[in-house]
Amino acid sequence: MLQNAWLIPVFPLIAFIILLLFGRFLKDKSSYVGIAALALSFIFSLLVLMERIGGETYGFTVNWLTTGDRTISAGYEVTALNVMMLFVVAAVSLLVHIFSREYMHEDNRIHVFYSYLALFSFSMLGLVLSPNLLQLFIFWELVGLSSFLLVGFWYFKPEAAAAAKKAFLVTRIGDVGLLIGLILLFNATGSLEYSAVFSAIEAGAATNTMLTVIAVLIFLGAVGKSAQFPLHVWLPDAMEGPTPVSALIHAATMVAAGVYLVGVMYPVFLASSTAMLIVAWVGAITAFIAATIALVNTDIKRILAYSTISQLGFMMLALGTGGYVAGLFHLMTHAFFKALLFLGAGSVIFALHHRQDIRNMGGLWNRMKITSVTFLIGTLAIAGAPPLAGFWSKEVILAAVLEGGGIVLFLIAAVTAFMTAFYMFRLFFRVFTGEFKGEHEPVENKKFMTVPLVALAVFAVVAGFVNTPFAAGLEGFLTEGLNVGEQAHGTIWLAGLSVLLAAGGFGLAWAMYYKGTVAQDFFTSKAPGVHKLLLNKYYLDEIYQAAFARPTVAAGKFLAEVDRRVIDGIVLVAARSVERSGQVIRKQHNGQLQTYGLVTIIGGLAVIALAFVLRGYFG
Amino acid sequence: MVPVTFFLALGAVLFCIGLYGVLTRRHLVVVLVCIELMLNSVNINLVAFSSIGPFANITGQVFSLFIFTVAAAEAAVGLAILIALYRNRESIDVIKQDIMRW
Amino acid sequence: MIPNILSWLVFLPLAGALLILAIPKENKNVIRSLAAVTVLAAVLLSILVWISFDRTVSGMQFQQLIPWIDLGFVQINYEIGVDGLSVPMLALSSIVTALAVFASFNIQERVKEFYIFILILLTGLFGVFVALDLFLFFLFFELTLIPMFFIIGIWGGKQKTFASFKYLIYTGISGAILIMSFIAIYFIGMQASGWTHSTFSIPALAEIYANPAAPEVLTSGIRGALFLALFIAFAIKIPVFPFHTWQPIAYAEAPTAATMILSGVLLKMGGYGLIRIGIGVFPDQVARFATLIAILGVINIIYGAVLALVQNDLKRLVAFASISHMGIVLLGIASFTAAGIQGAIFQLVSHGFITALLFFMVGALAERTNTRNISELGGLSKSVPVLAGFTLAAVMAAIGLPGLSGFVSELLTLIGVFGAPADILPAAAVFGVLAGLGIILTAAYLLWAVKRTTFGPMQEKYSTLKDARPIEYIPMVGLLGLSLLIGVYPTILTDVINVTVTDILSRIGG
Repeated sequence: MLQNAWLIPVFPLIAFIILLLFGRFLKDKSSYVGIAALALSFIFSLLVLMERIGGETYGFTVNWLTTGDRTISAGYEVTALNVMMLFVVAAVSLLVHIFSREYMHEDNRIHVFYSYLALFSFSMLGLVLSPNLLQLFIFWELVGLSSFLLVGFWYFKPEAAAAAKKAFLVTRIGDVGLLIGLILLFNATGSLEYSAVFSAIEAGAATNTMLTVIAVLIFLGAVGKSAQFPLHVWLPDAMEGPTPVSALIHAATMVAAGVYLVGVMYPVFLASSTAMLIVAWVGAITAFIAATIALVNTDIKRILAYSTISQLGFMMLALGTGGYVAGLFHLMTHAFFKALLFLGAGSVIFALHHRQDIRNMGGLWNRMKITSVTFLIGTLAIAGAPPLAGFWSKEVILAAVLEGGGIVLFLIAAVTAFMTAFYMFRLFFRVFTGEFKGEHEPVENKKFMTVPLVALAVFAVVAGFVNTPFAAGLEGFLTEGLNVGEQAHGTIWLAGLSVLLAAGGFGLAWAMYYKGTVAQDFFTSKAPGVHKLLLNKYYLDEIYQAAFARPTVAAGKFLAEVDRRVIDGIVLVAARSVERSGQVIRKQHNGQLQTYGLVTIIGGLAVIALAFVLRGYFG
Repeated sequence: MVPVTFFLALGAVLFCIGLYGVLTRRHLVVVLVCIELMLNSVNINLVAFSSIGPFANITGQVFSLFIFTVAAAEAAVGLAILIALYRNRESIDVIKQDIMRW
Repeated sequence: MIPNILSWLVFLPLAGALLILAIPKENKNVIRSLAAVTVLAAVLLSILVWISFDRTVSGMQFQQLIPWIDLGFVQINYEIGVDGLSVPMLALSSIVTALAVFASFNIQERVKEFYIFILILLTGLFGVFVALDLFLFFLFFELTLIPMFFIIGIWGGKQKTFASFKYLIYTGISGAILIMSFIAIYFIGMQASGWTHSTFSIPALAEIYANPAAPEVLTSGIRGALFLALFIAFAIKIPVFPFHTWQPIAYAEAPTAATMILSGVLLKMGGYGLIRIGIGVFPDQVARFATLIAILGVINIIYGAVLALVQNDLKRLVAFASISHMGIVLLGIASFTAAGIQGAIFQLVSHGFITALLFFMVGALAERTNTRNISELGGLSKSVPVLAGFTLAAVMAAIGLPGLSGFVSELLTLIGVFGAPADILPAAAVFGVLAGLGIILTAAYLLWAVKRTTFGPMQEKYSTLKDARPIEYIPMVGLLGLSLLIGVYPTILTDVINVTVTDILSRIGG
């Protein structure tokens, strides 16, 4: 089975090709092609996962590129980490494919949508199967492309077009960092295979400074893809894409690829304490500022997007403080409950005819029972209510941060956890409780949409049990044969604190948005400046516009003028001066044959005379 | 025996007369005639060297025959051009034939 | 194996041109099919060369030598042959030209002359890429100039006369410098060999300049001057900043097919010449001026990108993109490593396909909308989804998306630059990072352009446009497919190049 693992990404690839060529004839039957391909992938990855748990492993490579005497190979390999990812990606992807059938059925380009989704699934599955950094980078870019295509799926909306461009560009900045990092790594160690790189580094193939530079550059890639501060600005805008896309790409899988990357390259990071510190702090800052923005945002999808950024920051924070298992565990649980939340949001948006502002929502609890209950499960999971998935993973993160990061980082993490509970319940109460504020009475959606919700809700409940303090199964599985340092474990008081934070957030949200005992502008009226700052997302978009985009365009305009006036100007002046001198001289050519003849003869005589004088024939 | 210098002098004089005519006469037919004169001065040189030059041989005379032929052809073509020119511009004054300037 | 296959290849297009000459100009379809058959035969022959090329040995293959002009003291031979550097260029020339022929079937006026010029051009291109004699090289180099001058001048856009003359004069200057430096290389080579050799043969000259019998002739000043003269001549062709101003207008005014050939192959003669003669004869000078070349390369990359950002004319935008992408070639050469030079050659081929595709797409869109101004376009995905899709694919290839060929050349070049020996290219990392910045800028200007042309709300006036014609699929699928092929499996190209590159580097012990 393991040697057939390469088929997992191939199924979606075949679906992509079929849909690309024949999609327009299949129309809305396209969804079945996609769903079938993903079902196969899912079954295969399940089988591969079970076999890998049995302890087997497999790898396969061929030469891809030879330069001088070094070669870069391509292939696939099955490791503990990537079977976990395979399972998560295939599962979420399959559910999103099913969900989209209903969600997108009114769109007459549904076949295009499904072909892009298949392309994405192919690239993402290929990414996790890659046995070397370059192949990972190749698929890394391909998921970026699919993200671009899907965000810009409704290309005729100017916001969607702009968001797609922004998503691609901002991640591209990180990608170039990653590319340079992997090239430096290649030049230092002579290989890009994970195992070869790690053993070369252990053997001291690179200096400490070099390792730090490499690790930071690789992390830059993760910063871009996983929407970490300061490159997180693309993710909220990416919500212009269809909601299932947000669930799949911008919550569960692609944005987690950055975390996966850091996980895969963990030995490189461990070798440089500076790099670890940077990872931890970037994660902490991201987690904090994204959570603060989520507190005040009013767009259901954007709140979830900021929540995603914040949670990804959490994972980075965990990885940066030595919590290898903690970060990747949270990556897995988060994939399920965040996909659930996004699909739930999609269900709400679909029922409300594409309205997204939570101020105009409310009272859906009795109207959309399945959506409401599953959404509540997701909210509880992300808030960290025991014994749901988020509780277990968040607890190990807090433990790792406390142990490896010190008190400041721990406080940031704790405050963020509190804010997470608060903004998620704020969202929940505003959407599902209170008065309904629309004209069209919403009804629960069809099975194609509710079944994935229920399935994900089940995952959100049970996924945490794979790694509890009582049975740390995942930890043993992931760390086997890997030297990633001692892993921190939660304690009872930490669990208590974690529950307390969640309960506090819930309580405050309950008081403000359900009971109304605390006025909704209780905080905003006290600090309007802060509120405005948060509403405007710390003005980061504006700052980037002013600091990078506009100066570049201005430089372009300036250089274009220089090019036209100075460089081409010099050329034109040279050309003109030849032309002018020609105009002066041509006046001498008056067409008088006899003058020409005379001049010729005089000239000829002069030349002869000159020759005589110079050569001394007279003397 | 007339020394070769005499022939050369005659050739030079004829050549200069021809050249003077080419450069100064305004009538194109006269210019053409003067060109013939220059060609013939060359012929005199060739024939002179051919019979009494330091390396006397027949080549010079053969060459002068060639020049006769070329001169005849040139006269024919030249006069044809002159007629065409006259038909078009109603003048064969050298000074007026300046449409090819610049 | 056909004997003298290279000569067949070189003169096949010329024979086709002569045949077309004999056909009455009214039979447009006959002329078109004859041109198509000729270029397809050329493609087949060049692929045959590719297949039968022995990848394991260094040095020239399929050589042919016929004494041609013998003036006693000057001997010019018809000496041709190919190595791993020329084989891909031959394939590139024939394929891009063939696809350009298909792309130009919509030309209606003076069809006969058009294809005659294209075929003569192809002969010139083949000749440049197989010539091993400097004089022969120059002859073919100049042979490409004249047909292109007429193509721009006759079938071009509004400013065609200006554009064609600018092209002619720039390239003419390039040719003049080239022939002067060739003659200087010849004479100085003759002295350096201790008056034993008088030859225009590139391999022989390389040998003489590497191991001169009279080393006192070849002072470092003379070597430097000769190399710089060559460099400037090729720099005009590539084009390298600040010799680039002929290029945007020539591209913008030339008809689509001509722009495809011009940017796809003609420019590559500059890069090819720089590697073949620059590195071939003066490897030490390339090492000496590596920093200069790298600086010019980085300027090309960033300057081209920044200027492309503010262009309103799509064709000019792609022209500046082309300048930007050519910087990668310079950077690869300057890195002086196997990976870097490989990357440079890879980029020559890859860019040939990608830029030809980009120009084809721009041409196809402009033909339908009657404008190339970005500000007047928008929302074309709705009315011409196939063209828009291929445009996006071309843009992605130009951006360097992995899986397409542009990525491989960027990767190889950057591996080379970051691994460049410090005594040849100090501060290599700075150049690498600046090139990385260029990659980001490339994504910026191309995506911005896409956003403003094919994305966005559909404009009413463009609602009735016709999508791709069947004949247009040939160049689109062909070019994209080739970019995909060498992008997904680059070994197909690199194993042809690798031995030659290793050999070039080993010759100076680098």
